[in-house]
Amino acid sequence: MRRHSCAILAAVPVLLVASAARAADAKPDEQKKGESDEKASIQAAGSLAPPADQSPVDQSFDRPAFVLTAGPKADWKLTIYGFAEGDMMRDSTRSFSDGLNTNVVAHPFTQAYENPRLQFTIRNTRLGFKAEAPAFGGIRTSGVLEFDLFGNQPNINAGGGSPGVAAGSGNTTEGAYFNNAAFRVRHAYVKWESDVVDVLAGQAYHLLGWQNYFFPSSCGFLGLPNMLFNRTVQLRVSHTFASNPVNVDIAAAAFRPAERDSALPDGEGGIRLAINHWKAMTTPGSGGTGALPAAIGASGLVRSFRVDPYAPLPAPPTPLTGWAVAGNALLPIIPVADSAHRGNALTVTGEYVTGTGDADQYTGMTAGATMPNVQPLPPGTSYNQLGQVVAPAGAQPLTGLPYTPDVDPGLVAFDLHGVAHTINWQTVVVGVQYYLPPSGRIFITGNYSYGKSSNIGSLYHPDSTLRYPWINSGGVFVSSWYADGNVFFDVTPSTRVGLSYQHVAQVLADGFNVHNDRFETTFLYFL
Amino acid sequence: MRVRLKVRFLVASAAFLALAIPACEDPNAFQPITNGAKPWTPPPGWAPQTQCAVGYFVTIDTCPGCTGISYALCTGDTFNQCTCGSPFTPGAQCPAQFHCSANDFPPQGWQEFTDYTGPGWAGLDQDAGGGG
Repeated sequence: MRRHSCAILAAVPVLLVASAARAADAKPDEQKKGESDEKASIQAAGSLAPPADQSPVDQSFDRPAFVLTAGPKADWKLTIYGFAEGDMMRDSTRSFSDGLNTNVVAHPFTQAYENPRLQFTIRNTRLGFKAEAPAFGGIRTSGVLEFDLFGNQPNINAGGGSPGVAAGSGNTTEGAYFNNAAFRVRHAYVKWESDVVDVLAGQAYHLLGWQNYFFPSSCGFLGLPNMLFNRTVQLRVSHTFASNPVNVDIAAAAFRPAERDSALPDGEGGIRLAINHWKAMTTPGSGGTGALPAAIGASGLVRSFRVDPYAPLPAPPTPLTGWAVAGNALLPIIPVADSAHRGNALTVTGEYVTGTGDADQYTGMTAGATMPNVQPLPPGTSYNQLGQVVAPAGAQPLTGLPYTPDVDPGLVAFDLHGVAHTINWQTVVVGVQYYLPPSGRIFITGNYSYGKSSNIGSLYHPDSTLRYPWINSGGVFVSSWYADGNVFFDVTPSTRVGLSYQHVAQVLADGFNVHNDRFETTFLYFL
Repeated sequence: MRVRLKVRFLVASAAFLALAIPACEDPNAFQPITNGAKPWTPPPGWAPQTQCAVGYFVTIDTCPGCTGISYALCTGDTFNQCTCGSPFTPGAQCPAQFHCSANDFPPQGWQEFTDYTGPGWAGLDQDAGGGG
């Protein structure tokens, strides 16, 4: 049965590839669209990417942007962009929903770990609007609204004990969850651009990691495990020191604080050097293929926490500092002249991050590090070997008084002495993209990532459960590595199919090694 | 003119970052567990037989800077902080065997750790807190 579902997942895109390849040979005149607009739209979403390449495109990629204009000189513009996407993925365990991201693999010897899962989803579908107004007083203004279908939805069944998901039947059905996917805002911002300074206000990608310029290419939903990928509300100022050979971008921003009770904004800043005539062909995620200047970037984050202590309140909040520094690179090993000439292009992407209290910068990453929801139980409480409270015979089970953490899980943890610590992480991501000659309509990509925490293992050590029964060290990972391989084919200028294998392995805080294998196919229509 | 503008921009950016970046705290810095708590070292012979839990206190008279009775606080598994007595708050109960004057009550929400009456417990000192 496992082989059958994998074979079906693999066969569908292969059939499409074969038929499209034959069609391309027979009717070259029909291939007259391109992806230049797609690249522009992705850049609109990502904001700080350089201007789109305006050179004429290869007919294979000639797909005009969907632009509406108004005004006497057609100088008010509305670009509609996005894609319809269908994905089918089969996992060797029941650990994940449709996105792997940086979630936790189920523990061995559980129903979730020992059995597979198959999911079909359209939730990665995307719709965006970019509006541009004519310059006024030397200031160019634009606004972006972008949505996908990953909106807040009730939980579905836990599938035999998925980590981080309460056991039970869930609050909605699988059918409703996948068929009636909820709208979610990705970007919503206004941008002013002038010769002196650019200002962005609203929700957009984080500046840490210069997102989305250095994103790797994969069928897997970004962010890949251990990869910086997130958006939030911000006020950003930036400037590009432009010249013909190189551009230098600098930016600084105040971000929505990870903990609002810190009463201070998060701060991020960065500098990026782009070599304009040394271009790399790159595909951030599974769409948006284009040629971007080779670049390296450095960026940083600093934030304040003021966490309520794990003790009766009122009490002085505990001040802690979170921070992160990131280095990124986009390197054309075999460069291209422009986005129309993709054949034989070879590109490497890289990212290194070290920090503490920064887990929210990775998609869905708590690593299973829960916060307490009850106060410690009374002294002398007896526990069994599983960390469960043993109540005297005939007595009601003991429960502690409620404790309400005022910070999201995964950022901060209390040790056995009641001392609050930020959780440390180090991550690295390396990606390779090769666009097969002659045209580059077929391209292959691969990624490797690794992440490790130096203190989460001690904070969530199995012995902790004897004092803190809410700790589940079997649901916390201390390190994680990930690898994938992907093949993409542009069936027509507006459609793309992809086939992917993704492997994620983790070491849990209780010492167990776990892994999940995923096969995925993706089908895209670009607006 | 443009150079001057760029310099201004750089200065403004640096100032913005400086404002956004709070002063870095020492991760090993003392973390008070209730208002007015300070580090406290138990006296020789201090040896509760039962492991304590956060939210429990032992009545003492050795907290630095305090007069009358004061309170040793359990921060997780040991008593290593203390606080002076404070005004009455709703629900506060004066520890057993002690008389609390107006400013002698334990911190709000904390309970007495009744399993310890050894060295360091104020009840061994007949003068502490006016005696029980």
